[in-house]
Amino acid sequence: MTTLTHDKIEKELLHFSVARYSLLNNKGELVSVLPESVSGDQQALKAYKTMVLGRAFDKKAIALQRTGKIGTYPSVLGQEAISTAVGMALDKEDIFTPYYRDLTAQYLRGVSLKEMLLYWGGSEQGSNYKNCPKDFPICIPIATQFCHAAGAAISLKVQGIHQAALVTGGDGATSKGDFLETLNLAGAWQLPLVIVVNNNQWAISTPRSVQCAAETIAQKAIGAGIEGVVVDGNDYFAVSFAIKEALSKAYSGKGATLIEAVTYRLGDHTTADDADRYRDPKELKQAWRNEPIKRFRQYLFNKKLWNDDKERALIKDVAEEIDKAVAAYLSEPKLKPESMFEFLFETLPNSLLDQYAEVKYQSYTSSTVAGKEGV
Amino acid sequence: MQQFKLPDLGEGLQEAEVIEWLVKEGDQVKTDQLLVLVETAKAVVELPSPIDAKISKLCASVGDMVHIGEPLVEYEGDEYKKKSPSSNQSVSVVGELQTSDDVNLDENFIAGSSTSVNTIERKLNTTSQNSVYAPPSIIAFAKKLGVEQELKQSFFGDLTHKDLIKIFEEKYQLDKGGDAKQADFDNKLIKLTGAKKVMAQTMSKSWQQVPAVTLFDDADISGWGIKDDITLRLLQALIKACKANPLFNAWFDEENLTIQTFKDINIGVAVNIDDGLYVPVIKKAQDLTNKEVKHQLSSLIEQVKTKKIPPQKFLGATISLSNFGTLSGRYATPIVVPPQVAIVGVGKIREEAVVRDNSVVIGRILPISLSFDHRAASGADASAFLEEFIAEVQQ
Amino acid sequence: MSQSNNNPLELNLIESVNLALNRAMMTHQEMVILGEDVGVNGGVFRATEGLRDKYGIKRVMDTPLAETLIAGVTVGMAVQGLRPVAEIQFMGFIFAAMEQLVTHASRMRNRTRGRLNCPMVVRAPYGGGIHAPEHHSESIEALFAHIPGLRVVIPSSPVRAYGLLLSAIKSNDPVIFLEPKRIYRLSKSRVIDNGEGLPLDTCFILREGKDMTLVSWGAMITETMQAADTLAGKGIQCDVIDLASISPIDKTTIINSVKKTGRCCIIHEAARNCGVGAEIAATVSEYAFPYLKVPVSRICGYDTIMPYFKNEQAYLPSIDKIVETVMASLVTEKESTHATV
Repeated sequence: MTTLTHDKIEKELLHFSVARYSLLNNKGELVSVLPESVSGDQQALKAYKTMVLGRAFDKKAIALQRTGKIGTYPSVLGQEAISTAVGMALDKEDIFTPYYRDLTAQYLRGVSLKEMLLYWGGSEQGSNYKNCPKDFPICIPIATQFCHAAGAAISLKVQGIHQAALVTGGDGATSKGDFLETLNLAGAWQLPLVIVVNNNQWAISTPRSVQCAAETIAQKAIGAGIEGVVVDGNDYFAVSFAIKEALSKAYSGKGATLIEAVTYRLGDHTTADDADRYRDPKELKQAWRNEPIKRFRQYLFNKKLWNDDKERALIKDVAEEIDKAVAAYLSEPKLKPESMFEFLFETLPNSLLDQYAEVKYQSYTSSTVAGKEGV
Repeated sequence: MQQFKLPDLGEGLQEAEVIEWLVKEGDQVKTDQLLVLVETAKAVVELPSPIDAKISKLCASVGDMVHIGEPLVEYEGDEYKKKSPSSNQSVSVVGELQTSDDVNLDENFIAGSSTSVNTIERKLNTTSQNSVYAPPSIIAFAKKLGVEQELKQSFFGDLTHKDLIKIFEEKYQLDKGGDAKQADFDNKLIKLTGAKKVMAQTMSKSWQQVPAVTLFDDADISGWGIKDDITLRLLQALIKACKANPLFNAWFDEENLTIQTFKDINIGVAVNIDDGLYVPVIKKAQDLTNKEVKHQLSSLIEQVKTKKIPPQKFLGATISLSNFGTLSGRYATPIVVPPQVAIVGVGKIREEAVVRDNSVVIGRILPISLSFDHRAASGADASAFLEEFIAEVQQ
Repeated sequence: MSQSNNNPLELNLIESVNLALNRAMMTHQEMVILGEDVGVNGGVFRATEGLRDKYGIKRVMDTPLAETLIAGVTVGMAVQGLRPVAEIQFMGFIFAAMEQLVTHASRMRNRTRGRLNCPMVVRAPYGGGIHAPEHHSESIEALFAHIPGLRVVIPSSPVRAYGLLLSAIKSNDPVIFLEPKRIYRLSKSRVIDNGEGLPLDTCFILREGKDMTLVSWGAMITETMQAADTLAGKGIQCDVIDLASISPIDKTTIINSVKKTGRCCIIHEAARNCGVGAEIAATVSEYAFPYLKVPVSRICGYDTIMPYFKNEQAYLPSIDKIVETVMASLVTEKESTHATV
């Protein structure tokens, strides 16, 4: 607390702070001792393999969109570390509330690559997760998922379950009311909630500098009375550590944390966007130097945990896994149109039976029966 | 009186012994506050209160065995307690709520419909006695499904989409159907369901509506090869005969007195399996190669047998073929199913003495019965059709 | 778990709501209540009075002033195993909540093919006639009725409020429960706290008659019933139907009534254009056309912004207007049968 005089008025300045740190620099060197929670070699290898898979699947998905096999798809290029750290840190009994750029997190939670393709390919079956039945589905309306996660956290607290809810969102989402209201509640009600913001610098064409005047997004936590942390989002270890700390805190009832993971969106917003229209190519080139997979690979090489042979084998395995998933997706039978009625309410009301009948038998009426139209 | 009963403690345990009470009668307890310690066969368990309330009674003593579902504790009355009569003031943070001393006391109302439609006697604003009202969307749907007749017969056109679907399912044998198998010779009441029910209804209607005449004749099929597929040859002959006599590949509209002939020849082929008669349709037979006809026929029969046939396979026949003579029977009067105008039936092939080139030889004879709707065609027309058919079959 | 109480209580509508909430909290251990001022204060209309004391802070939660958040956490809680009943203080404040209700509550079941769903209720006092400032008099049930996957329920009496709210809470679908605040305290009925719900998707027939079908809901039922009395005095007997379930609608009861009477008039205080009355009129026309002696008529609020309360009475449909319109229907019919073509 310092005092200043300005026009003869004595003021006391109140100080608040957020922490910022990184553990692995962009050359693959550790800048600090690795904390115990992220120091295991097995964990590192699993994380690396997942990131590589994520990038390869991402590339495949874009190709599928370009060939008309799936619809609009949002690339995760350059943001693999954040998503993987989320997926690795969460406990099975925690609740995950994704947005739409959480590829490897969802993969680690148990969402299959086929389910992801089904979702982006336009089928509701893609949100019917077989392996993580309690997770929320991909959320398209921006920032609305934050409130759901708060609700999930309340639900855990009311039922006395010592787990946490974790929610992700982009930098753009932090401007919306849903985000700010959730932050506020997380503090006011001391919710077991971890909020991870993927600050990839872009909300479609809106750069971070236009989105908010605060120096960091993490400091919005101060306004809510909770802890805020900024980490290098390209540094798997830092993101992982921050999330694990936050989860621990939530489990023990000590409240919520806002983690801002700073990275760069190396791809377009989605396959329907062309970032070249609004981005400086020099900036993009510079950002590639910081990308998460290259530095992690270097770290593994340095530690003699990885080599070229293993890399080749991984690429082959990953390609096989993806191809299998794509084949399964392409051969999946289309949902019947009448299924649009079957999950509307718990039981279909009488007033809708007629509409249901009409749709259910559209396939039978497509060939003409009555004489007028010929045979 | 609200009670807290011994909950299911899991692991198949059915009862527990009360070890120690942590509260007493008259205590005001809060949610989650521990009430009692009980011991099961496996462990000592602490039971918390599910609600905030006042304990009015402890229902078991230390040492008692309590079964799951039996009350442990009674809370002071859950009767609704009204707070101070704030109803005299229009309590609201904004505005005023009107109050009155009106007491409606007993509300009388019925949930849902109180009158049944069938007992309503109403004079409708219909323009004619014969036309029936149904919303346009229902009429269009009925047309699409081919169940317009049923719509006309219903009470004041009261059918809706969901009713039409049921009728459609029945008509095209889409419901599961019942079992009409007769295992024993006994007095048995068999209720017709599924395909058998449909057959009964269709035949009845056809018989009533169509003034049918049948022409009988024989074809000498001695020239057939041993391996010739009977059905395939019959189909080929039918196609040829239809092409030469388009009047028989047509639909008759009795209301408008019109005959609609068709370019496409869609042949309904009668298939008889255990649970009934089915007539799937080979569409556009005129465009198919022999191989394709064969393939379609066998796949349709397979689908009928495995009950995997989609309903549209039964729609749109322009003429039908019935090979009934596998066991016995020469000639028949097969029933014309409107709006078709003809059906060809073939009976059992027999060896018979025939005259050829002025000598008597043994020939293979195929009996043929052609039934036709005499409103659409004459005996002469039928004769010409039959001649063409026989000529092709005898090739 | 608790035994029901079979002694009838004389309660008004808001007290019945409170009774139902209390009963439901006992029946459903997973039920929680949340909203602004619902806990300590018992709700600005006292709907949740006494519940905080009885069920504690974990189950009756005072939220910050944030309608988007209220709706959003309600969705989140419902998906993850609770049965939340949220209160939006006035329907006029529900707009901020609509995104969560429309894009999530109504869709969660369909989106996940039944894997997740939202068993939740959002309650809000609605409607005009209480001399309140701007935005405290909205009737926008049509906006919600238009959303597939949402149920909209509006009670019109203490007994029906009790039974319908219990069913709404028990339902595993999201329900918007709009309470007509003008009649919150207007009259009392005998309500039995037996925990029995009334069916959703069902209309209630409050009065039977062969001359005219009157369809209404909410506070307008009061005026409609009074109009029916007046008309009875003139020898005109009306079927009065309380729609109650605004969406999905019980078409059958209405159509059957119109088949009997041949005339239909829909009364609602919400604005005319694209109001729920339009849906009912179209349905009656489609399914009961030949039974109609005169076209279906609607008596509604005007297509204007609801005036501030000094002019409120000019906006809301009145008993006189209902009586006049019904009488006019009969006159129209006589004229049409006598018209020469």
